[in-house]
Amino acid sequence: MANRQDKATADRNAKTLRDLVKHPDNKLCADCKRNGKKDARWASWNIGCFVCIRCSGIHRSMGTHISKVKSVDLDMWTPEQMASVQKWGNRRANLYWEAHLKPGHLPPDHKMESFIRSKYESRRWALDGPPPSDPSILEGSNAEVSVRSKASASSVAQPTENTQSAAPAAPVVSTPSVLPQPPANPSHSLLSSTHVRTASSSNAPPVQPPSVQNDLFSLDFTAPAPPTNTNPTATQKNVKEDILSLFSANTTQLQPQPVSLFDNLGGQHIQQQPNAMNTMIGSGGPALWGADSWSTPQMPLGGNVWQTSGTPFNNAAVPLQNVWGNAHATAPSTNSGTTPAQPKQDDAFSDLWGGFK
Amino acid sequence: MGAYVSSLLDSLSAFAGQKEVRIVMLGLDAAGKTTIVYKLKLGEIVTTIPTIGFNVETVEYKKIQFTMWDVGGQHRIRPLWRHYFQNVQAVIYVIDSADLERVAEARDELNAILASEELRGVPLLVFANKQDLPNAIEASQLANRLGLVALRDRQWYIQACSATSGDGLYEGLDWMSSSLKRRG
Repeated sequence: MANRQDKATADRNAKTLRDLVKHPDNKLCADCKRNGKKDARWASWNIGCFVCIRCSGIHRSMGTHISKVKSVDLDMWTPEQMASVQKWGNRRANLYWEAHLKPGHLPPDHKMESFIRSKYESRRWALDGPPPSDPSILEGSNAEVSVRSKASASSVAQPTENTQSAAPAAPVVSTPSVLPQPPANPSHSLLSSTHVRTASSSNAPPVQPPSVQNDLFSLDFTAPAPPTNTNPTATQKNVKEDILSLFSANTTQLQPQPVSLFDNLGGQHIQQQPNAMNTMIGSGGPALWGADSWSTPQMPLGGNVWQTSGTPFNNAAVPLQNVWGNAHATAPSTNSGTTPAQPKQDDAFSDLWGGFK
Repeated sequence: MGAYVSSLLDSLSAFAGQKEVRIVMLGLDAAGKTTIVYKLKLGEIVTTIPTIGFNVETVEYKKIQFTMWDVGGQHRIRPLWRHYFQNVQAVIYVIDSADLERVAEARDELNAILASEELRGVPLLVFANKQDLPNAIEASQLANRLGLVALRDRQWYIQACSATSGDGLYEGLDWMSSSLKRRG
């Protein structure tokens, strides 16, 4: 048989997976963020996230070119599959796939299928470009931002590096895009405050941004700026390069001209308009879409959707008990559309679960 | 073929009245077994979750009542498949035609179940499912990769299909009806 592996490897993988799903980052389903009480015991190993059984069903419906689903408990895992979920995990996966989604957004229960398809199939909120081969850069950048901004005063070249390192922080920002106000205003005010901070930092290095959110917010909009200074004609191209710099830190160029960043401030604002607009459209589109379609939850409908699909599964259990009697023990509880009924399987699966419970 | 099958079915149903056929549906996880069963049963796409255990449904088609046992395909529950083999008159093996990475695994599992004594001589219908997906390979290619051509002492047929559109599903049942008729 394919995929046979020795028991020691299987046990080791099982232990690793058990630890992974217990990790705080992976406790909640990466998509619905709700079914944490029951654990996210299914995974999309190519995406590298853990999901609940219901969301895993939706993942499977997209095809394996989008998502390759495996069970934490019921499947054998290859080293490649293990490596993927180990280096990703839910937090990093969502830093990439929900980069332009409002933080803390809870997709409505009855919209899960369209949410998941939008997220992975249409890449609605994902960062540009393919997922990075080393996903740690997605979160490493956030921690770096404050460190780098402190260090920015130490040398002339640092401020530009600061803004470059800010590019990875862009995914965190999406709150402003849902504001009904024209996004240009916060953009500009925060933009200017960033410049002020850059300037004042030469005199007072430890100046800190008022809040992380504001800092990241402003960085989002200043990120495209430095290339504009040095090469105004390459504006459009550099937008992409900035984003691409996420995935290969070495390709970014140093532009040691922090002074010109100031001198050109007026012109820069004008040139930056297209960039800012791009950013706004990129994150604002989905967010507005979300507000339109999701801010009016239709809860009764939501319940019905799952109940209807669940009914066939529940029905299946009825003939079974009559027909099979004792054999039922070897064929554990049937699916329920609403609950996976995992706990019930303990007895029937005792030989299979091994040390899982 | 179609005319042949339908005339055959007509004579069958006229002769024997309604007939019951017990079928087990097998295949790797996420092949589409449950989706096929409920597409045949309800005529619509249900949002499924991975099957832990099984589903069973009866589908009536051309006066034949097919009782379909749809068994979960996750690796660790595949050893349970054999418990469903008793008294089945046909096997439907479902494969994801777009999941090329796992064709070899699907072939190995198929060979394992066909080696079972209880399934000796039982007709095999392979559904080459998910033909609507971009990278799906043709049924004839799958037949080669699954080693169907080398099968002996067994009627088999591979039918390209898409559970979501329903294309090919009833063509598969048509073959099964005629095959069962040949077996008597």
